[in-house]
Amino acid sequence: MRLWSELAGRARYLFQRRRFNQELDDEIQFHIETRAAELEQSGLKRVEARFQARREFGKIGQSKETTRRMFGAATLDGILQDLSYGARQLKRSPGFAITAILSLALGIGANTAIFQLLNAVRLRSLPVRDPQQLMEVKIAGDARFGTHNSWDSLTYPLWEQIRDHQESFSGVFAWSFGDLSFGEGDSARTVRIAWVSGAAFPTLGVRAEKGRLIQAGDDRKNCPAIAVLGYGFWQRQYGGEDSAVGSSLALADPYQPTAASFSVVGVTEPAFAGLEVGRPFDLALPFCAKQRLFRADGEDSLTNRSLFWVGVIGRLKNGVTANQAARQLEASSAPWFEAAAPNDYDATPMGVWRRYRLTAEPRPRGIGQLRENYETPLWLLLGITALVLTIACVNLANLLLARSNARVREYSVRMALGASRARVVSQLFWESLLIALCGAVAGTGLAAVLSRAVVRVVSMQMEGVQLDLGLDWRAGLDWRVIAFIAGVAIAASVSFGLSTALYATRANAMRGANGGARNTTLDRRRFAFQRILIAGQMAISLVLVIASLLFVRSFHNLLSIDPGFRQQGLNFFFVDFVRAGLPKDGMRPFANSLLDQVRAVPGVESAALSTFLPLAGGNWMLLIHVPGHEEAPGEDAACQFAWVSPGYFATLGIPLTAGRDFQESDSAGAPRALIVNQDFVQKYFKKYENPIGRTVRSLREPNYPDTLYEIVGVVKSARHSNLRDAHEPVAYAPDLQHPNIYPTGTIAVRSTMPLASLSKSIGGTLRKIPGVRVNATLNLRERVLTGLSRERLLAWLSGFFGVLALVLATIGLYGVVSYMVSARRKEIGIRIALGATQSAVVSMILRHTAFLLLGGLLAGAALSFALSKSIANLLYGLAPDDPLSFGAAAFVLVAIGLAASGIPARKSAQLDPNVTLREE
Amino acid sequence: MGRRDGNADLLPGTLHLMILRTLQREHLHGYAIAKRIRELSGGEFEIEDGSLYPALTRMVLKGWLKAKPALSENQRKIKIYELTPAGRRRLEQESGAFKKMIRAIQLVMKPS
Repeated sequence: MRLWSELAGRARYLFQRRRFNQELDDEIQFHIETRAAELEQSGLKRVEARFQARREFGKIGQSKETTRRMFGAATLDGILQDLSYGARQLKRSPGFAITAILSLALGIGANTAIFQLLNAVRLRSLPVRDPQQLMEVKIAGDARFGTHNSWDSLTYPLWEQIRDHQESFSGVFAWSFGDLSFGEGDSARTVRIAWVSGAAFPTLGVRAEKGRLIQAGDDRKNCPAIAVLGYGFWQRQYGGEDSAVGSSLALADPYQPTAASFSVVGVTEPAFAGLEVGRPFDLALPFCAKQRLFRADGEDSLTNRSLFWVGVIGRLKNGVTANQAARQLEASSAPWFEAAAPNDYDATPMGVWRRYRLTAEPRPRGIGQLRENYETPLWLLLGITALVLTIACVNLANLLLARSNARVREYSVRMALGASRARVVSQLFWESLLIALCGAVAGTGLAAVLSRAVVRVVSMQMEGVQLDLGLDWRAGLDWRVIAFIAGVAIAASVSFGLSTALYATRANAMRGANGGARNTTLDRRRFAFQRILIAGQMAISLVLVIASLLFVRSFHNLLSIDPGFRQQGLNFFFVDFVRAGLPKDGMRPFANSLLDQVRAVPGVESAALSTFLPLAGGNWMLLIHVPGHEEAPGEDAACQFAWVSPGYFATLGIPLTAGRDFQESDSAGAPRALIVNQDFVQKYFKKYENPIGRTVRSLREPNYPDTLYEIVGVVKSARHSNLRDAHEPVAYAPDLQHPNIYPTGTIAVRSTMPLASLSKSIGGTLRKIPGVRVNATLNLRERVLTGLSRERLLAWLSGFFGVLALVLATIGLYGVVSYMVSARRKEIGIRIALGATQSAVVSMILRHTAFLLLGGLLAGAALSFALSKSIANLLYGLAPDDPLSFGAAAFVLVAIGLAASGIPARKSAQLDPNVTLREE
Repeated sequence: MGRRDGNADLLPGTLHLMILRTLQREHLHGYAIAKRIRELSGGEFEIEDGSLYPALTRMVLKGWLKAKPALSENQRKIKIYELTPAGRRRLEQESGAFKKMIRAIQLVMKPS
């Protein structure tokens, strides 16, 4: 109670400070006047009486100060005073203020931008109930076939086993991604689908914004076609209208002729955008409704035992640890694999399947490609930007030191007049905090621009990336981002402000006030602090420059890889003829007839069909048997397969080194032919063995029978599934002999025409044929470039920060050397007067800085060497301790360092001793 | 925040005690309090006037005193201080404690 009233009294003071101070003045004034009047009555002269009264009262100022301090408010008063004093000081030297604020803004802005991304991609938990309980169920170890060992790595029958038998989780659900086309005719567009099992939303604890969500009861065989809208999609597509719920929409699989109608039952809450980081879903549909999109006689993905497309998430039971759950799954999953075993595989892969076990990993922050690709680079970039900020702070510290040396006289006068050291330090500190505050505000603006630019680069590679960067008023501010900015700003101002303030007010620095600021000889200790700062700055700059050189060189290596085929002028057209209504055995011939039409288009040099896109993954691996070849124990002979039409190698520019290309005669009825690449020959045949005419057998798989081929040709090896793997055995089979029939075609087209006009002319030709659609087109070189967005981002940003670090370090070094030289003007003047030559003076000064440079470079090189190991797997074509990058960086720094110190050194050598010695 | 109220020569809390005691009977302004203390102590306690106002402010904040704005005879804005019930209780506690302390000091200082 009493505490409250005391606090209330103090609080009242804060608001009525002026009134209270006035009252106190009045009271004291009255006190002194009354006492003086009394003394006067007792016989003193008026002047003496007043004087006596004042003396009796003591120090008036101190009394007032003590009284105010009673409220604990002097601190606040002092801070306000210090801040306004700081603002005045900054206004008086706008050059300093602008430099300081700009360099801090750059540092803070860069850090914030990267942190925003990292926060969005990595740190933020899913906005669901107890996200730390969520676990992803997956196949343990290196799952080899059918799956790609990432999300959606299970089959639907396997999910049913988990759902029906698991005991590790309190709830478990399946979730998969997919694209469907939404709407009809020309307005049709692709929407992102989340396929969910009935338990998904209840287990996550996601709320409905409108209507209801998919529930357990909706998840049964032949369930009604219902859809739940994602909040963002509801806003964009329906303008957030209530009437959306209850309406129906048409969805179609791109490879199916007819659309199906789904009725909207609800909208998810705004915070929840799906399980995948950065890529929100548009519509959530129950798995069981998937069949409505397919013809009755078509493929059934819910019963397919070899289609890996489902991801499974479980929620830990209370009191069960992640480890326990994972071990439990591992122990109990063998019968589930047995029950869901694919039926069409050969014995060898079945052995692998039977050895599979399930495990689980914590996924409190969701899943996603974006995070897997960008997490490490972002941490790295955050480290880089932190170093840039450090350099900026060191520069500021040096600037402040130089300023404070000029102000030493001011400080000593103020301390002599009774200001405590703490008071002077706090004044300097608040001045730096003011700088940091301005820097933080400007930096936040910069961060908003920079982080959006980075997201754009990322989106080049991945469509539909939407990240909540946490600094949007409408979407709500993320406290982590705000706290980060505040923390960085305060840490910066403490590091450069407090340290210099303490340093500048040290007793021996204060001696400067007596003897004049310029000592005659160099006091080494006086510059020790600056020298350490400069050497540290050099070390950090070296680290940053080496990092940027490594990333730029690595990116350049990737850009200049020769993939073994000509990328320029190579385009791909993805077509389907679902609506042509062809019988199965008519599809390959139809695709070939399309190819003939494309070849006839003016401007097309050559064209061919293929089942895959080079360097894009999505390839088909088959286990094989090559007579005469023994695979190492525990290994399976396997090889990438691609089905291509005659003319494919000519179109891509891959030279044939032996045998023949495919011909029209390699048709469905003819013996199976195979063309292999040189890596295949190297792996499966002995030296000097002629592969032509030899046979290869591929083992049985679902939808692909056991097949015996004869090798008819050998081609030069080209990069196949990705740009980085140089040596991969690849086998090509004739398109017409593909046993499994899809109404689609991928047409490779070589032309010197730009893609835009080419797709106009080819698209025009193809669209005239009934039932044919062109779904997508791409230029391979552009595709390769966008596929390198991550490396591009790293190279650009680290290069940018490297240059920034160099600029900052140069300014810092120049400033400090100039300052040291100017502080030694008198000494240098004497030396010159005594006969020192210009070059002797220059070399004397350069010797000092060379020492600094050397120390900094050695430390920087050691640090870079230690750090470089961690970036090894982000580099291509060079070792992390690449001597060229290290050497070049060191050379650049030495050159810049000598230039930055050489200019002030030369200036000082031209001093006129007559002038400098008379200065005082 | 160092808190130094009261004269260094005085025993801690003495100034508070004397102010409370002075205000027990009458309501006074700051100068009158200082004067009354000097008179009552027979000139022994020459409190430095500068330390009076910090002490008064602190006691107002503690809730022992109430300050009422008023006008002096020569039309100056001043404050009249008066004891609150909490102040009265405080005075009783403190004077008890103070008496004990004085007794203790006397015992120690007793000429042997």
